[in-house]
Amino acid sequence: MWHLSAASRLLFIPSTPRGHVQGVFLSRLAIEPMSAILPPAVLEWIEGTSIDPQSQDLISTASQIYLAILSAVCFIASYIAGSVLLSIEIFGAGLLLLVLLVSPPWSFLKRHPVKFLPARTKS
Amino acid sequence: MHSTLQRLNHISSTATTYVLILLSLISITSYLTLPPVAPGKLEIRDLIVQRGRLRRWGAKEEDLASLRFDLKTDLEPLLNSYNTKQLFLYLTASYTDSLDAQDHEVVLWDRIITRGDIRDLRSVNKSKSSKSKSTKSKRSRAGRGRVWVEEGKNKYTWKMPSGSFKGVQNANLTVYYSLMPYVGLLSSGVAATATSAIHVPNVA
Repeated sequence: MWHLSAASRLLFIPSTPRGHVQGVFLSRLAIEPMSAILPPAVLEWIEGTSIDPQSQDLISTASQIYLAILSAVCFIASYIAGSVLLSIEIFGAGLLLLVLLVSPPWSFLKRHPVKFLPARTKS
Repeated sequence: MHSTLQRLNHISSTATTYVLILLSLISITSYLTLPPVAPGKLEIRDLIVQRGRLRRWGAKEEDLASLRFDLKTDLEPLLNSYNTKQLFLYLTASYTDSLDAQDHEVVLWDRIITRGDIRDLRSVNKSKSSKSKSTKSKRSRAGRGRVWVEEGKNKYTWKMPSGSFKGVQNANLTVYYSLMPYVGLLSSGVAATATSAIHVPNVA
């Protein structure tokens, strides 16, 4: 309930009142977004102070290429070693590396921030 | 892609696709590169048919056949091939009952041969064993594809639904294998054949 302002509180209450207090409370719980349940620090880490669009593009193409190369390497290594489990292990390790590299909002993903125009002031 | 959760979602869905591609590549390749198997030798030492009952005194007497056989076959290349998890060997007898013109095929014996270098996550105390010991066990596990059974008995009872082998003259005995892969298609074939059909004796 940290983020909810008075206005959004009003919005989340259903327009047709149920008549008794408990029903209203339960329906509010079901409607409320995750932002109202999690503490702001956790939310900021998960949703991130969003990374820039260029990095988003980079991540989506690079992760595709990375996974394709990774699965090819896994296949060749496992064929040479003659062990299927090896390929699964390599793939798992590579995937873990990718997730660690790409999913948290690291600072190198925020190198090209969007420059907004300055707010116009009434003359 | 702007939030951590979305990136996790994207990466995991892409990774799932690539895992499936990888596994299908493995299964197709392993199926195409299966080593050929030279059928080994199955020798029947003895076949005795006698009247008896399997359960206690309430049961009816019936013909029970007991078999003694020698089996020698080399499945080592198959067992150590790329995608093999284990082999299932089974000895079958196939014969025709001339009284009711029915074809029968029964499994008399089987054995599971697991891969020698199989790694089981559930195994305990694996790292504790000393180095010399592990190499020794590796060596002993190396030849488990070379199957050599001497004077094997039939594991499962060989009997007839009618209770007698009167209509059966000859039976063909064959050892088949089923290859269970880590991922992909189950494949099977003949592991050993007997030189000739065996005569099934009749009880007077």
